[in-house]
Amino acid sequence: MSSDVTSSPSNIHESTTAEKDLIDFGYKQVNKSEKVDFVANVFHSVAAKYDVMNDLMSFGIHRLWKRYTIDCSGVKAGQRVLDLAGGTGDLAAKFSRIVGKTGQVILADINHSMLTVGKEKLVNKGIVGNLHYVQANAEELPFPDNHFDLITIAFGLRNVTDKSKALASMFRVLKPGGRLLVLEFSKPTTDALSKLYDAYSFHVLPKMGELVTQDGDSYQYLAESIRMHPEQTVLESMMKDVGFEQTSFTNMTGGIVALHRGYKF
Amino acid sequence: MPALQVVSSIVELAINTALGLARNSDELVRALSGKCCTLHIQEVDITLSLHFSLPQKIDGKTSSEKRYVDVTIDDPWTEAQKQTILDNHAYVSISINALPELKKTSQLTRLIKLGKLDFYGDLYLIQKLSALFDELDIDLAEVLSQYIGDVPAHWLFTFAGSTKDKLTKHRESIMQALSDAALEEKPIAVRPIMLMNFIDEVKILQAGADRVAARIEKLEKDVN
Repeated sequence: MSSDVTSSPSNIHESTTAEKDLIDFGYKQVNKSEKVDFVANVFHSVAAKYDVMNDLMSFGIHRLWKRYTIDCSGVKAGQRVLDLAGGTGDLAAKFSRIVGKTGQVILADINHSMLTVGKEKLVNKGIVGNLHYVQANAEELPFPDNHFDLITIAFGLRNVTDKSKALASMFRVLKPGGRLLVLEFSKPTTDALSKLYDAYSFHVLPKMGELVTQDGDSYQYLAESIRMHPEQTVLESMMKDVGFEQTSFTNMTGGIVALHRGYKF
Repeated sequence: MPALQVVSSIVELAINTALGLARNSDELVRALSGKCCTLHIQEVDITLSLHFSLPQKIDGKTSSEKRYVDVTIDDPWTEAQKQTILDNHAYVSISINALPELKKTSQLTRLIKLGKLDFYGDLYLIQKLSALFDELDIDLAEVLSQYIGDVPAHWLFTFAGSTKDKLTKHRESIMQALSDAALEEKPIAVRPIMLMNFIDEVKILQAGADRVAARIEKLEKDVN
């Protein structure tokens, strides 16, 4: 699955927009400094119904994608894990039980609303003790160098303003021998699935969002941000560019979602 | 879709449901809490890791979610992994046919000697895992009574018990009737004595045929 792609339309696109100090927010172009607030508003709006919507939108399959991510983590008792953009803590909950009392899990999210919902959910589930909550920007992680055995970011990287900067920041805080797992929407591998997926995400998703969260715009943004996110090989090359080694990716559900892996040695 | 993750979800749900229903699950899981047992099922080459934990209590109350085990699917273990296994971990490679025997602690040594069980790590963990599945105390009537009430649950279980007894007796009588009918009323089945008689007759016939063959052979020699 590995690729040797070194440049891509998306990379070029990012560099040209950088010159104008503009960046994608879905299909719109916004000022770089504003994207964080726009994304924050989206997640503030959907935080309360985030889990319900995830189940509805993916027909529950997001649980299997996340489970696969955990299976690929190789995490053991006593290790230190960073769940970035951890949202409502689906991954963090499981990591917390696996690493046990001697380990540590940090659930980090830039969005306070998501963090609050996540914390409430996990405390109600009795997941306390080795789990800590940090409001942090993925581009400037407030942790020491070589600190974590594992970093995961599930459905969060596409919302980050400067993805390369965020990947570099993750590389810095990862221990030598540690691994990064990026679970993110990606590009379907067949045209037929791509068309079906487009129809679903641009016509059904926003309506579903409108019905459940009274916020169709946020789900319109979701569909658009997925299309603007770098495809599989491009993201892999971005990971290589910041120093990750033995990078690879696995497509799931026909490439609708891909899990990227990279190691720091 | 990640198919193996469907399998691990089902296994996890089944174990947690069983442990959630049992009266003594906290006591049984306590010895395994914070530890991990990895099971490699030989025939299907799947490696499942069971990570045990006890449900936390917040302000003296057990959490809303009673989860005792998280199941993950591992890549096949290398020899190096097996040799450097951690203290709080046990690895067992076992045949699918021998899985039920894992419930019996006394059988573990025999399984290892027979080569049906390949083992690394802490044997105590495997013994505790074995005890966990063997000693689960689930009172189904009590579980059901939480949903439908004591009296209906008692009635349902009494009814189920008597129905089971009746069905067993009914099945036995039907089998007896069919057997009698096959042998006596409509002799579609052969009785043992008839079969023995038939075998004797075949033997006599075979002896006669042998004699005729010997006589023909002798006559042929005489003619030549």
